[in-house]
Amino acid sequence: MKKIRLAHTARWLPPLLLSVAIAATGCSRQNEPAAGGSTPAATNLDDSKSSIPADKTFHIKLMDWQGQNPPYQAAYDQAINDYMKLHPNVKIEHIFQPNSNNGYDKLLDTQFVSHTAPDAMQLSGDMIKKYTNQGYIMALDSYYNQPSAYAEGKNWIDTFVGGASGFQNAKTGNKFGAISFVPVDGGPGLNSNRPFFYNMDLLKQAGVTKLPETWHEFMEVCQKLKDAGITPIAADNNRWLLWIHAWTGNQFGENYINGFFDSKYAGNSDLIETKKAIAVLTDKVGTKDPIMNAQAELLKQFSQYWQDGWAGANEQAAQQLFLYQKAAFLLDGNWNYGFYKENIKDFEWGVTPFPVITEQSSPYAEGAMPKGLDMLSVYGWGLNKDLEKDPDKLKVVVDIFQYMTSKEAQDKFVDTAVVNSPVVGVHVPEVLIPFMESDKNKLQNPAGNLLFATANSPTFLAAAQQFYTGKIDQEEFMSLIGQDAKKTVEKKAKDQLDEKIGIPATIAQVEKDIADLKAENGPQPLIDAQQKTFEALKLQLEMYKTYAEPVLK
Amino acid sequence: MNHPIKALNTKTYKFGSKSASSGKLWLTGLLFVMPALVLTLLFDYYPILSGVYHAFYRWDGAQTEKFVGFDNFVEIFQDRVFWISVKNMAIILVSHILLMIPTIVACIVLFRLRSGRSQYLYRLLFCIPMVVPMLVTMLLWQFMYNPQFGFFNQLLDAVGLDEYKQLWLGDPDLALGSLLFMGFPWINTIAALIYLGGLQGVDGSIWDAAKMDGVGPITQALRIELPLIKGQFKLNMVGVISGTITGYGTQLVLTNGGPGNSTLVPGLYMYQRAFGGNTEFGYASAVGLLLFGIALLITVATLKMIKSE
Amino acid sequence: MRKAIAAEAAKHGFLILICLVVFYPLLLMIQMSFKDVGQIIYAFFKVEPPFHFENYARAWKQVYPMIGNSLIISGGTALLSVVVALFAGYAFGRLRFPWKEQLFWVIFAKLFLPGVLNLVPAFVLAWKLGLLNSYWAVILFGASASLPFWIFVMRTFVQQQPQELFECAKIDGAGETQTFVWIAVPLLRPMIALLMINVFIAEWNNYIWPLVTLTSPDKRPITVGLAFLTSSFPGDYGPLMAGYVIATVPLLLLFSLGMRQFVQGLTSGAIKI
Repeated sequence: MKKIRLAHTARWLPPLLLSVAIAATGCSRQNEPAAGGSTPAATNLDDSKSSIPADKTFHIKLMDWQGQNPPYQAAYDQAINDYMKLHPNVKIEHIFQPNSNNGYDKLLDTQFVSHTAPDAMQLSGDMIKKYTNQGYIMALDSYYNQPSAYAEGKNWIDTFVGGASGFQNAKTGNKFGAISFVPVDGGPGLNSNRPFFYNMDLLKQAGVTKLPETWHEFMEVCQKLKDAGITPIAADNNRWLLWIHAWTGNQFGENYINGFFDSKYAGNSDLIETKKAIAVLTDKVGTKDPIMNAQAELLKQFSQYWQDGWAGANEQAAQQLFLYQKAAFLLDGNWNYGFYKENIKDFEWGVTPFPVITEQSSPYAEGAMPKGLDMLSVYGWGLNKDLEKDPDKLKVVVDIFQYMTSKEAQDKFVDTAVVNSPVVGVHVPEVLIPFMESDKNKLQNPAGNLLFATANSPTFLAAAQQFYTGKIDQEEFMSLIGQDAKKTVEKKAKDQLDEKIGIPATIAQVEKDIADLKAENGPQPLIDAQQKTFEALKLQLEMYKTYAEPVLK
Repeated sequence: MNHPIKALNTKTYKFGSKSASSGKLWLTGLLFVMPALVLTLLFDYYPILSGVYHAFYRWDGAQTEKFVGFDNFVEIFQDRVFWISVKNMAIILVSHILLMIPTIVACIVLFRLRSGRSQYLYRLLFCIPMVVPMLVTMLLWQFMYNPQFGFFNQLLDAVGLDEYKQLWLGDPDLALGSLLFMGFPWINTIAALIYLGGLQGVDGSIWDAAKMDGVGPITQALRIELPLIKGQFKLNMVGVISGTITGYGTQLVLTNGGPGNSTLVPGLYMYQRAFGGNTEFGYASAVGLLLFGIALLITVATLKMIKSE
Repeated sequence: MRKAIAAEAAKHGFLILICLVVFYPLLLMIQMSFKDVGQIIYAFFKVEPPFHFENYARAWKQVYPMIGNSLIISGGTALLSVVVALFAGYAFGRLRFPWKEQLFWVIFAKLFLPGVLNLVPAFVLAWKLGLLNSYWAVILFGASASLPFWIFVMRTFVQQQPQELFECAKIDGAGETQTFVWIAVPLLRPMIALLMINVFIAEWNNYIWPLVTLTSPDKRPITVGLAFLTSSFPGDYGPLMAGYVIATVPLLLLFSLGMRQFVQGLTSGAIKI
């Protein structure tokens, strides 16, 4: 739900942890019979599919903040109750901890330190990154690469939209390159489109008859609104800036970054974060970059349509503006759809897909939306690392999540929560169709927004606020962003090259993991996976040595 | 106060014949301050140690740790955003000090009331700001300041002054001022009660004497009440300084330092660096250490200045 | 005579104005507690039916088990603070002992250290001391946090008392402790009242620390309960405001009590200047 950051910081891929190997070996030995043996074709879930121990009782604690969004809460409760009916020996405690005043992650901070954290908990992208890096939540890759008990023999990861490539963002989001969460409810980022909520009455008032599909049309509509004395856009000084930058930026520069590197690296999608970092570090994408500047220009033109004083408004103020019919368009998430449905009584409204930027609006536009954003963004449930010490309990928890992400459970879930599902084949509630991918989503490797996303969030926001209100000009804006982005990647590159805390150290770690696995006769797929990681790491180190070292001297 | 001052109730205490020898004296002193010392050192200072220590490291809060000496401080000094935040803090500090005046004025007026009962009532009412949660004040003022439908702009519209309509919190030049204005009427209850507590020793006859001299009310204030509350003023000044320099709560909730860093203060700068996605705890600790130094310096200077008057 | 009445009226007028402005947010809070989402969004300042008493039902259900905890925690913190601060403040103000200035500054300087990064180290300390899930975790830390400022206050007030008062007692043969208990404490009554009010309220509003140290729900204070009434939607403040109103009532009672002590302390016992 809330608390998203779409800025993909250029973290990169060190290895899977030794613990992953241990957990994997433990898990795989016991799961094999269930997966290889009985795979009934029946679509109803029954006990024989999952391999959790039936003789012990388990008390599992799940924590989230869904209580603040009643439909989501109801959907989770339903899924949890269904699971408990299937497995009477499992008692699940669904704990609600509100997110207000940062209480949620401050609580987790202390609970992790004292090892009293719940068995699994809902986490935002930032939290996932933080807790994975700090070693408090588990890496789940091994489970993903194995069959799920509820997926008729398919590997768990393949039941998700986009499969393994869908989790690309997730892996590069933390320093271990691990997938450390399970997406259950749609949440932010799972929307292939970020649609605008619009006020039909206001549009009619301004003489707008057709909803805009391209950016050019969108600008025309905004102008008509402005001429009629209506504020076109309800913007805010934080989330709006991050979103609008991401959603426009990712319509620029398909394969732009790969173009800077030779074929050895260009085709390798595991290296995308390293490539991005190096591109910024070596000024391949710098303050004068045509694509970054094109994006800034586009948005600067757009900013004239945002409400006066947006730089002092927060999300709620923007939402209020829309609710008071003082603005025609609002960019909001699908998780608030239910709220608007409940509370908007006096005007007609709807949801329209994000406009496509065509060449009419900018020479560098690709004329298509990113397919890449179909990737599951980083948001979901993390599993407590302490579970690794209790293999039986761990099996149960994994089973719970495999159940909740099964097609059957998700089909029920999406209707109660009014959300779209990360799982393949689940129907989409009708009101959410504008939020889903269409044939306009084609780009695989957009490069836009890179510079803005690399800079520190507070720096970016402050600079953007100044630029779009006209306090500073484009040159100074790009310079501020560029400097901060450069500084950030410099620090990161130095870290990565460091013998003690950088890639060389993690390479050594992975080598040791592989050796240990071989010695213990671990499962081959796992060794192969680790080997792949090892190769990727070596390539990364190579890239840093080749491109970054000379610059850093 | 206009209440007759009772002389000390001279109950004859049966005191033992302990000789107050200087040897015993200092032991008593140390004993008296021991609990405070223990509590402060253990529960206040100890948790901060890790922060102070890590000011010289690059630290992400859990695992990555690298000693970098003074690098953090160098980076801080080179960051123009930090200096912007210091500038803002200086403006806020001066404003807050000036805004101590309304409380003093209100106290003096209260103090001079004839009726003891109404004094009591007002004192009680002054306590109300302490109970109102921050959220309510924040909502109220966000509403007032809203450029599109907020109270201030609507008011200007209604009286025909709509060319003076402002963006308030949305205008980088006005945001800081708007934040400062929010405390209206700037009555700090605890400060007020501290002043009133300090005015306790005044005998009512002083005013009669002043009236006979034909001294006006303001001069009376300057000559009579103000000197009396010098000690309390120092107290509240310390409170203001420490609160302002280390504070960031209002800014965090209302403007998050914006727009464009115009309401950024060092405390918030520190918070953003620590919790803003890049968990630079070491860097943030360095900022904290710096703030500590600045606050201490300012306080010492202020206390010396007031003492010498 | 008329001038005196006019002057008095002016004073009242001024004070009433201040009180009105001060009172308004409280009024707003109360009025929001009776509204539902639609009313808060669309009729923020108006007071009109329907009045949603169910906000109070929901808030009360959420909050009432925790009132007792809040009372214990806040009361305990205030008591501990007052005792420790009194002793130390008196010593720093009146007594002579080695390193007096230095020790004072050690305690005082803490006031200027920003506490942004304190949470985890403080938590670990509480954990290692075995204080977790006991009221002491909150009381000890809360009291310690109040000491730097309030010891400074106590010291100042002690220093401002006429020394003759204490000398009288000395002449009568009193030891330091007795002087402290029978002379200083009664004199400092207004400040005691003030300290207790201030520390009580600060602890009453404390959210994060009790949340992380009091792990069992039956020990948690009101603030944690109030958090459950929050929502991520704009305008959904009704139940939360109702909760705040409920939480305010004990505080208002505290004020009346505290004010009486404060005033009594002001009026009893001082030597004429």
